[in-house]
Amino acid sequence: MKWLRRIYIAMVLGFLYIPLAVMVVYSFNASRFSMDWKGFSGEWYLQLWNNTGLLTAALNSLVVAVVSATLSTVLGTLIAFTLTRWRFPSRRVIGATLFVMMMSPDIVIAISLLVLFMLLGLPLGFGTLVLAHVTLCLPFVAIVVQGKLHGFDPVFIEAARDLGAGDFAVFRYIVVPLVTPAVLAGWLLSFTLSLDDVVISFFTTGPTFEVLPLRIYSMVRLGFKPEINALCTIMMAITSLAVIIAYRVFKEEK
Amino acid sequence: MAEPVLELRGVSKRYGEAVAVDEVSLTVERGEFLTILGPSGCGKTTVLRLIAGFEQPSAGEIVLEGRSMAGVPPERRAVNTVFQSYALFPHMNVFDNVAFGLRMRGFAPTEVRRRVLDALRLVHLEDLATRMVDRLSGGQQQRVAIARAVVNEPAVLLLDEPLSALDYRLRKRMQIELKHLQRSLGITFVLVTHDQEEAFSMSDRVAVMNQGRIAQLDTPTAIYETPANLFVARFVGEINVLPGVVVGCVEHMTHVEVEGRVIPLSTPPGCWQVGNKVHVLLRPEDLRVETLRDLDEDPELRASFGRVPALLGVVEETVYKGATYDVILRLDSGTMLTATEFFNEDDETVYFRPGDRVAVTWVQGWETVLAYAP
Amino acid sequence: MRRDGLFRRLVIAATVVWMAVFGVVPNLLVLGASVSHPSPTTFLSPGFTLGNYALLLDGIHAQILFSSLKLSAAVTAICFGLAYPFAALLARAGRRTRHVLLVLVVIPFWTNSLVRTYAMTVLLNTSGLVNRVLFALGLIDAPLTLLYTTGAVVAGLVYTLLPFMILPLYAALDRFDPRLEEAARDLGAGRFQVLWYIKLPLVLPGIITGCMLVFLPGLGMFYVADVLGGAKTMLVGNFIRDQFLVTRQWPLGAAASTLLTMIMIVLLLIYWWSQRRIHEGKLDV
Repeated sequence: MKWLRRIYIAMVLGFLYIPLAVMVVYSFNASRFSMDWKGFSGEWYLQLWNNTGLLTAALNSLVVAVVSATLSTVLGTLIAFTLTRWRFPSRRVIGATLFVMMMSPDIVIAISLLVLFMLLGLPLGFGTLVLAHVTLCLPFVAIVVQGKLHGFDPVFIEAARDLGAGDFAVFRYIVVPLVTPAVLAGWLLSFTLSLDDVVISFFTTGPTFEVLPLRIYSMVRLGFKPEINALCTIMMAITSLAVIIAYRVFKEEK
Repeated sequence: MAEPVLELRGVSKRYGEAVAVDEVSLTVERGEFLTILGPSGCGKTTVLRLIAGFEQPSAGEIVLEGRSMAGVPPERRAVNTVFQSYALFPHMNVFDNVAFGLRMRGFAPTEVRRRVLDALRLVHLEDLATRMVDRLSGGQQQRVAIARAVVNEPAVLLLDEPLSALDYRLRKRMQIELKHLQRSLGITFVLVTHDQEEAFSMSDRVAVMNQGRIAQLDTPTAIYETPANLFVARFVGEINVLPGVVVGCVEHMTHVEVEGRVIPLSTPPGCWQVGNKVHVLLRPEDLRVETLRDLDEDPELRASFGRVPALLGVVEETVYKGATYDVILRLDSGTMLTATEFFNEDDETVYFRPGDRVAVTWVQGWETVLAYAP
Repeated sequence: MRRDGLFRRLVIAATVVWMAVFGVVPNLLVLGASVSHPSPTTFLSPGFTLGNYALLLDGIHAQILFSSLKLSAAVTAICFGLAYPFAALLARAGRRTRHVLLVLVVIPFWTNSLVRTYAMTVLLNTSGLVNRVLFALGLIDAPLTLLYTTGAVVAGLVYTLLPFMILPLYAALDRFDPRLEEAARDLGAGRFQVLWYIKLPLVLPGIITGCMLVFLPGLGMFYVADVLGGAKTMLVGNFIRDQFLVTRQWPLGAAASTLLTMIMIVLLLIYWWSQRRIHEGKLDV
């Protein structure tokens, strides 16, 4: 019985990791065209480094991810605060809209924003891409932070009020420090969502501003190239590192 | 002797190397209120889970109403449990929680309704039938848990620390209500607790457990007044333990040297031999303390001061307890003793002061003598 | 006090404006586009028609739609079948094992899905690992065409979306108090009754969340179908993309997108219903 369970867990994990492992192994294969093992080589990594187009796309992705994660964290935290602290007419509608936005398929968000940008006459590029990614990430931040805000005791806010703090001071000195872990989690989540996104970027950026996932997409569609193995390996390594670090940080929080 | 409803015969439960329950045997009679009392980790909850059927014994046998329970799953046992944290179903209201067991047994809806309402009336919750359980207070949840169990009319009702989550006053009230409920329904109760007061105030018999074994099984009075061993003596209430050596045995009279004095003790004949090391146990309320000053000044008092030679010491501290106060004193040998004193009827002040020289004695026969155990 | 009142009003106003411009208006625009007349030059011309929906539910379009729904339903079912036992084992595992396993599930969850889709092509290639293993075992004597098949798309979607099923199921099962199972059995419920009356209602919101997180992307992730399925239009996502970027029939694409939104709303309503059932006790035994 116990063995059966272990085998099952191993099978699922194998399913999740074997393709990635194979990709990592091939990224070090010296052979260019064949899938046969022709010896160890770091050549494809070197080629990546010399590919300026790819490096630009990678840098663009990073900038978009940092900017949109930061913007959506600030806005999302504010919205979460607004929804939990104050009562105003459209409060429930906004709460429901956030949930619907979070669950919306990427493609629906992508084309609805495309239509909006076209209507407003905005040229597709960095600006529209950031707006689109903020739209994607914001509900996640708002809902994570809201969960934390619901959890904490209103007695802290009452105590601050009793000591003379106004709305702004309550937000700045009481709410922000107490929800910081949730806010950080929201930022990290936004950052990876932005880096991971293909569908929304596909519709909302223009030819002048290329991001990494789209670059990979066009490379992958053209067929197998060992550089892609190398590039994907690097991206996976970065994600794994981020997950493990985030996990350590938040485990100590608790 | 009444017929036994539940029997445990040499029941053991091992988890790998660890022994949670070690050859426990006990018999519960129909209509009895039995409490299993012990510190946390003594195996008392495991005994309950074995009876309920959530665990299977590693050895031994559990017999319920004359039928062996080996291999019988929990849902087919005529016992019901009131869980420590109640385990009420959060997605059902009070009525549906209480009705669950009856519906599982396929009772007709009208019958279910009648019985559930009866059970709710029993615990004074008839007005809250449609309330969701997470909107109830702790005390109300407790009542739902009891109603949910008793409505099935089990042969034995198991209660796992049922009152531990309640505050002091509520706990006192529920103790009385539980005892009353048990009497009026005539259901056999087996309760598990670490609170000796709870055990004593409700039970017909108490089984004190320690390290997986039953240390003593008897009525509350017997357990308090004649503990079978040091563990029971110390776990149940406060007690003074004095080491001693038997110095003489004549028929019903044993002489023991305690704290440098030879004291006559009444013990059954043939129990002890000269040279045996023993413990002399004395409850604080059984000790009699007087200051040497008073004894010197009042010959009448001196004459009535008991036949046991007094031990001498100094008062260290007095602790106010409301109706009584404790006198903590140090004997000349260095041994600490606690004595409980009642307030004098016409003088509601603490009589003893720290530093007073005092003599301590007790009525012969009120002590308990046990073999010495380190 | 003045400054604080201003702060509050500013924040509320910003919230409402943002949510309106980026949450509500775009969806209304798509809804509007879906009932507009198609136009070969300007993407669409204003007006009101249900013709786009009629077109969507007709002939070849309907076929694409239904095969995509079927495919995504299959992916959801496979993910659920794989994920439920895994999540249940995870929820019952010891603290340390559980932490390690969770990290191992979260890493693919956060890894770029395109990277993971690509990794699948490396595996399913004619000279990829799967063919090699089958060949070495003597099960085949010529490489199978695994890539660019419906099976490859299903495998790819299951592969990318499995963590999205595992995590909500785990969260729901972890929150479930196993003592409730004991309490139910103590009250005479058999294994099946415990599952049906106690466990399922309490875990259902987690199951629905997981199914939603798999089923909806399963309709929309056009790049998975592109990379693993070749040039065929397999998913509603490919269809929408093509209407917007290739054939330029915005109203038809908008109608398909609105259909996705409606499916999502139905799933959300089921989710809310399952939650309300827990909180208001609308359950009959």
